Amino acid sequence: MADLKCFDVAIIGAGPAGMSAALECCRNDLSVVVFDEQGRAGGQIFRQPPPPSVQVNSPACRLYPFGEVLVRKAEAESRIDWRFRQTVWGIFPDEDRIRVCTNKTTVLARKTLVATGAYEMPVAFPGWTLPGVMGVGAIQTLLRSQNVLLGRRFVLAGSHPLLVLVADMLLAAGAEIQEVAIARSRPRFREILDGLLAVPGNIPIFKETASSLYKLTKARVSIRFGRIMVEARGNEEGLSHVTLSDCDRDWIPSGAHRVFETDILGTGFGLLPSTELCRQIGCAAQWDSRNGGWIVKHDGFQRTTVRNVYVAGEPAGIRGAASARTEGELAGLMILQDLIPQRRDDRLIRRNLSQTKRNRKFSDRVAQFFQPSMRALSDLASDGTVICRCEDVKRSAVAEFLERNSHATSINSVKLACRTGMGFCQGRYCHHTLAQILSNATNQPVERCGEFTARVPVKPIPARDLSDV
Amino acid sequence: MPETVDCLVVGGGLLGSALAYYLVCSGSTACLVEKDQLNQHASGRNAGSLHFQLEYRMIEHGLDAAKKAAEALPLHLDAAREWSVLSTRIGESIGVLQSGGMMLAETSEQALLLERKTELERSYGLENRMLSSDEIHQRAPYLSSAIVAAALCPLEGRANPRGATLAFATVAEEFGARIRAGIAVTGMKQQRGRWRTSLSDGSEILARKVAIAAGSWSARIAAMAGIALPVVPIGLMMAATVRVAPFIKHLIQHAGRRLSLNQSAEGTILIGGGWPARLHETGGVYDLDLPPEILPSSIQGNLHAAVSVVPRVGEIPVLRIWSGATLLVADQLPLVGALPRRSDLFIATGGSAFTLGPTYARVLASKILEKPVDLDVSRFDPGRFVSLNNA
Ligand SMILES: Cc1cc2nc3c(=O)[nH]c(=O)nc-3n(C[C@H](O)[C@H](O)[C@H](O)COP(=O)(O)OP(=O)(O)OC[C@H]3O[C@@H](n4cnc5c(N)ncnc54)[C@H](O)[C@@H]3O)c2cc1C
Ligand SMILES: Cc1cc2nc3c(=O)[nH]c(=O)nc-3n(C[C@H](O)[C@H](O)[C@H](O)COP(=O)(O)OP(=O)(O)OC[C@H]3O[C@@H](n4cnc5c(N)ncnc54)[C@H](O)[C@@H]3O)c2cc1C
Repeated sequence: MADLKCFDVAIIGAGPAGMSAALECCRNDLSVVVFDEQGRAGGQIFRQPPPPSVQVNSPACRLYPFGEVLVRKAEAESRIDWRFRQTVWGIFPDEDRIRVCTNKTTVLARKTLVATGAYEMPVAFPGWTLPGVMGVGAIQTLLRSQNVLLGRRFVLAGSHPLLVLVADMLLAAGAEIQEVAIARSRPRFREILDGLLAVPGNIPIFKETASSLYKLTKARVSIRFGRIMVEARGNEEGLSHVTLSDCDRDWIPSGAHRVFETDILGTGFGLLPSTELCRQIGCAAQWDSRNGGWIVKHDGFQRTTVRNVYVAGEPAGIRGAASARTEGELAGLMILQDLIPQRRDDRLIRRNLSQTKRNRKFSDRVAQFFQPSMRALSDLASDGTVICRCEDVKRSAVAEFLERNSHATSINSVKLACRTGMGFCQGRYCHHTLAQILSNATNQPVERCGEFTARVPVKPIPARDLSDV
Repeated sequence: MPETVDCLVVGGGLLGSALAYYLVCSGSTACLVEKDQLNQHASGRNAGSLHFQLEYRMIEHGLDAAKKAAEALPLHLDAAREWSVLSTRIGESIGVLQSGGMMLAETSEQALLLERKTELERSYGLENRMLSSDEIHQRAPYLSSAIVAAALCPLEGRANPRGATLAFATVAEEFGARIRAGIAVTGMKQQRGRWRTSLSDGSEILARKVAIAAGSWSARIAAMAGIALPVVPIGLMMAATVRVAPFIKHLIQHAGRRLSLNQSAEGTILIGGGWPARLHETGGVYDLDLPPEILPSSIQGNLHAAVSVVPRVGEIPVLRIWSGATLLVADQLPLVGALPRRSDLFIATGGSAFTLGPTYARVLASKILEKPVDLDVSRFDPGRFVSLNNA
């Protein structure tokens, strides 16, 4: 392990947070390396088609005009050492540096920024593991980066604004949208007004959403509030039917059912932060039910509780692309001043902080407006529903374990005994469902149930790649 | 009024849970107190390997050290019998499979050491024999061709560490043991022939006897009673792969490297063997409540050893690497029995105490219940450290 290359800054994730931080650090002559699993910069929202295509085609750039500028600037910045298609599987303290290990290489960095974004929250309900049931983000990603339309007829169900944007995209691509079911009840005028008042600076987003809604309505797509999916049916070949049910204000299915014969069910209930790299090295996490559940704690200046490790973007709270960008910039400024105290620039930091505050005001509103009812979602799973699809563990197995082991109150105990969360996805798919089930069964708040311990490697890595780090 | 019991068991790992089971089975009243969750620490973090032959760490310092370690072999022989009947005895599945364990050699020196070792083990009555090179690759075609010799101990194998402790606890509870998780023992003092123990929830328990089953925390509990123990905690790491169709039949160990490897019933390959993880320290004192820090050098070393012995492992994705702590006794031999100068305070610890856990629990229960012990454990009496406790 002799002579590892050492950088001033290592950044993990080339989304808006990572790109902004990288540019900020580079502008100030720090040596920067950026790792991303993807083939190009952009992250989830500004994801681009793989090279050689040069187009920055994300429709999200209409929502966030800064996106295109950011991606272009980043791609043009040759002083940054871009390492695409590499998975960072662990970061470790190494004296006064951080050792960053990927499936291809190991580097040292004086400061490390974790900007790993978020992933879609899956919901376990009868039939959710059938081919053809998927997240709306996945539908969007396939359409956007590979031009793949997965079926002809679509039902979309959820609560997240992404639902409407994806419906619009699908429509434009020639799909038939049978219904967009939104679990929350129809917003009252007052709520919409409050939302608009929080908006200054975010007008494009509302305009875009409104325009999508308008297009959907014009195409006579049925958009229903107070509806939720309760069952999907089909076989190994794929989905055939989806049952939607009316639901009450708490999203408890109540009334009439309606069955659709369909090809694809897209669900969109929100995002969960990718915090595992931070937690694996020991950064403290905190519970924030509005902004994604367990998020990485920081000091307001993006410094985590572990020395030399910073966080920005979704792992620090699901707040959207605008916040990710300003947080990334702030992380860059703080890294600069922590490395070279003479270069501290209070004016820029203050400007950034007030921008961050404005973004938060907006994202808090959004979060409140679309916050999923986790309890109702976890109750969609029946006894026979698989909770952990990697290890094929049914809800009934967990219930039986809890009944026989009344001493078990932590999610990690359930994991160890029942194998929920021990599979290939490392718990990303079942964590939130299991936590809610445990919380209901043990009568304790969900945050008391804890979180699966994050372990290296944070993604599965062949043993050989770990044996020669 | 504080709760009154015959025996208070401190710690809900394998030892504590099995002990509670044996105590209530004999009609005694027992309360088990666990500061975290049952099976959360070493007992739920190990590989479940059932080690009966002497391990690498016992032979790496030469034959004389091995002879000393071999004094514990009677316990290993007992444990081999014990595991084979446990599932039937307690009526719960604990995933025992005794399909044989091989210790491998890649050089002629290692082969020679293995030979001496098996002689020593056989002198204690443990079945263990050298395999010819042909026989090795016929029995275990998955091993690298670099393996030139191996010792095969047919009794070795594995049990399920995710389930064994809970199985004991469940049955113990059904038989009347009280189990209190999420509560720590914070102090104890002797009072009119009883131990008055205080718990972190503010309550107290009056117990005639107390058993320390606190794993790496054991010395801290003994210290509450004013007794010093010559033990040190060490941190270890383990890795687990994704599930693959079964192809590794044996428990695999190595005579010249730190490596132990087995494939669980679910298909996960568990890789360990003594690679260090760093214990956290605050002001010179180990902080045992934080999981030991995983070291990149150990990850590399352990997986390198695994891949060079079972090459196919190289392609298999590793899913998680974790750490845990276990306890070493100064003279490398177990501690089983009453503490020096405290006839009503008991302990069992040391060595591969997953393997030895059920044996420790049965023997300790007999001692606590003042019944004859069916195994000579005088060699392991904590009283041998009385000189540390002269007061
Ligand atoms: C599927 C999906 C679709 C979305 N679509 C929209 C949308 O249309 N509109 C919208 O407003 N918001 C959308 N979002 C929300 C969006 O994630 C945020 O608004 C924004 O992209 C967050 O920026 P970020 O920099 O924090 O993270 P991201 O943009 O998510 O960037 C994180 C990057 O880190 C990389 N990464 C993660 N872990 C590792 C690792 N271990 N090793 C190497 N690289 C790693 C990822 O490949 C990714 O490129 C979507 C989110 C998802 C998950
Ligand atoms: C990584 C690793 C791999 C291993 N592999 C193997 C193997 O393959 N085979 C083998 O035979 N052995 C193995 N071992 C050793 C084996 O796991 C341990 O020796 C054994 O599990 C010890 O069991 P225990 O019940 O004594 O301790 P533990 O399982 O640690 O239980 C002790 C319990 O006491 C509790 N406690 C502590 N203080 C208090 C207090 N004040 N109040 C209340 N409760 C308290 C703790 O919270 C803990 O739950 C391994 C160990 C490690 C760490």
